[in-house]
Amino acid sequence: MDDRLIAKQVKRGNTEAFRLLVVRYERPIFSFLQSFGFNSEDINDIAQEVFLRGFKSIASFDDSKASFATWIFTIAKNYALNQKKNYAYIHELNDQVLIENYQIENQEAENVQADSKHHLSQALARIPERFRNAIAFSFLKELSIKDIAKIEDVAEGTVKSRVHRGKIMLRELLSVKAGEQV
Amino acid sequence: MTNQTEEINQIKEKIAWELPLTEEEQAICIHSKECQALILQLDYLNAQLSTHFSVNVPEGFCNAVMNKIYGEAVYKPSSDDRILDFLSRLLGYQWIEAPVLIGGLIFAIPNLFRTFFAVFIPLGI
Repeated sequence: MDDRLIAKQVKRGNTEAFRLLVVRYERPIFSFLQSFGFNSEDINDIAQEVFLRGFKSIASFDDSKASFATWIFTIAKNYALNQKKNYAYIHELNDQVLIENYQIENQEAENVQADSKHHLSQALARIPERFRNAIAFSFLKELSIKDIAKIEDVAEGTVKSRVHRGKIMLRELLSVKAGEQV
Repeated sequence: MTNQTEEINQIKEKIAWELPLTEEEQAICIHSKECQALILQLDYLNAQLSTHFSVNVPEGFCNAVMNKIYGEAVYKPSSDDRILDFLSRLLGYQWIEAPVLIGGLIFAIPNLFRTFFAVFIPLGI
């Protein structure tokens, strides 16, 4: 069933229809919020608030202007940015991720994996927000380059450029990290 | 030698930007360790990012969202509630005291005179 039809149903008062949209977008919203460096508990709270806000403001969703994906991700982006300003996540990130990732002990292989995940989280937190968002959005199959351009309010070419530049930055940051360890 | 280094740098730039390589460039790339290392690095990064962004949604998340939505939607104030709510908010303002007092006086003073002329004078008190 098309997102637009579901949204129309919700607008007409069929609250239960919104469940379909939550199921459809919960995973991509979680994935996107992951790029901000929030811990898993906060991601859960923020994602819930994003859907709640989406439901409350469904009347303002105009399907002639944007797709539902574009609309809900714009809400998610703005709310996540707002939340990030309120909490000093970047500074806390080291400790949080260390605690989360090092809970699994005595399993070397898993530790190596956790370590690389930790470095990637750190590197993502260090690159400028516009590049990080572009990378995160580009890994979501629910969004096309056109959708991302609308959410970020830039040209499609700029999105592609941000994705590639972001990856170059990440690669450099990760190779510096690898160099430090050697 | 310098030309080849330049060529490899250009190819590396293209790889980094994920631009398509020509057949000639691909042939150079196959024999260049630098290019291959870069391709491997980028593939590894993409794989890492792909894993990083594929998160599991906690069980019951959707129900939690819907419960929140229903929780907020359950209380729909009736029109009576809205009038009472409006009055209590209106009377909560400090500035409302003066207009209420003036309004009361406007109503009370003429009524006082009316009572005086209509009741006490005819009785001759």
